[in-house]
Amino acid sequence: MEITHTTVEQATREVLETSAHAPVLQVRHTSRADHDFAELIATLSLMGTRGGTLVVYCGWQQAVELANGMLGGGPEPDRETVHDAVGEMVNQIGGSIKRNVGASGSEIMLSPPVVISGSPLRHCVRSSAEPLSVELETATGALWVGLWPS
Amino acid sequence: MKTVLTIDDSKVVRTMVGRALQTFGVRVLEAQHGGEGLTLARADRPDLILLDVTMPVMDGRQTLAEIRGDASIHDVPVIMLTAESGKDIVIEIARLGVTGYIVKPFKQETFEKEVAKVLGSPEAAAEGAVDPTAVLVVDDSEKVLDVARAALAHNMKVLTALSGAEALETYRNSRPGVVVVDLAMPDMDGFATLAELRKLGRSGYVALSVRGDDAAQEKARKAGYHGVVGKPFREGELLDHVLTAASSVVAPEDLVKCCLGDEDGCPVFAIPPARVLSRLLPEFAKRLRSLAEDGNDRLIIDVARLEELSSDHVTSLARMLAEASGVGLRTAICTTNAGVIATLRELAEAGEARWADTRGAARACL
Repeated sequence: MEITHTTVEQATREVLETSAHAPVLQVRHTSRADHDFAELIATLSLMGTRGGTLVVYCGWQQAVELANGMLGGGPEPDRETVHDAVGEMVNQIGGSIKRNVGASGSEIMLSPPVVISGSPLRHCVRSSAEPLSVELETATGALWVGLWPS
Repeated sequence: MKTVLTIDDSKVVRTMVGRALQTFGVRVLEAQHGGEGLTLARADRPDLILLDVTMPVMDGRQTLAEIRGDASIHDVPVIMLTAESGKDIVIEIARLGVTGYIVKPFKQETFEKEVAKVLGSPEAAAEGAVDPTAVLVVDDSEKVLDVARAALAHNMKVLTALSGAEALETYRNSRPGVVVVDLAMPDMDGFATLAELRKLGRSGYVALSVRGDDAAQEKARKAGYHGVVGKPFREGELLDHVLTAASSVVAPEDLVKCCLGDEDGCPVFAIPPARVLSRLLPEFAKRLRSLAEDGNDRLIIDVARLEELSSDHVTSLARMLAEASGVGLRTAICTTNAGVIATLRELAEAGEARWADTRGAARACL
């Protein structure tokens, strides 16, 4: 099965709603490759015959809220925990995309996630393809997820 | 109480898993990679291991292979947690002997359903909890049971049985935290008794063996006994093994209760082996505060069983003495060993403590 905007949306929605307990209020499919609001970027590679680069962008406060949702509340998570949470989230989105397209390990393998935060951030993906990008709005802010097919 | 070990490099996932396990009322141990997980699994022999697939240092596949190849933990059920659920990965981990797998992200009901296949329903898992303050001693000799009772009764509720069959019946009714079993009994020996006991629940197990029978002691450890005591045993030696075995299955707050006894109204803390003691210190500090709040102003610290003090013991005792003094408790240290006294006298925190040969004398001098 082809990877489409809907594949990316469904995978992200599943992770946001199940792991971070953050219902998705609104979704937009675009092909934007950069985002002004990004203060945290999490990325991993889907390697193999149907691979690509998966990137999650969001503001810092949104990342904190998502980490809080995954942890079930409590004191504000520190920077390391926020990175851990969003890294796990992008890993789960990658796994979910792989599952939704019915791929085997030889077709898609996931690399470990890399998370960086700061401001201002710019992120470049070496690809001539347009990203399949999805912007998802939750009660605590926006999250943008892009997949550059290889 | 059942124990679940979760091995995942993500602290966030370990927290999520711990929260998802709350309905089962289990004790949760955490490790951040396979190597650390194997160490904990060998020391505590959990009822279930929840294992991440992709981890640094030692990944889930390698860890599972190590678990299945280790005679002491090869039969512990393992459920793998993975963000990937490709057919190839499922086949690979199934071949390695996985009990089940849970795909991340997981819903609570999916998680509970999979875990319940191993632990039983959340309600059943909670019901299966052992009585952490009870110990069952099984031996066909009344004399041995009397000695064991005298050795343990200050600290724990002691139940006894004269045969393996009687032990199983008592276990079903009382679910003691620790069971001490004589290896050489007629009809049902210590190995057969252990095999049956383990079907009923999860406790700490100590074997009683003829002193010097190294082969039997080795066989007992391989069979799953947490410790082996040679007969005839000293009172303190048996208590040390019982507390060590209890520490594998009992939460620290319950284990502290087993170490705290009473001498005619004066609280007595019986010092356990060093590796157990270091785990108990945070709980011990809490108990000291509650003792003081309940109007106690005295505490006996009983180190009479110790022939020498390890450096861990000395460090822990210094903290305990400082904490006791901090909450206004006067302390007496109970020992007759000159070497132990000399070591403890070097501790500044021991300056205010008194010394006595016996618990009775310690109480009197306070």
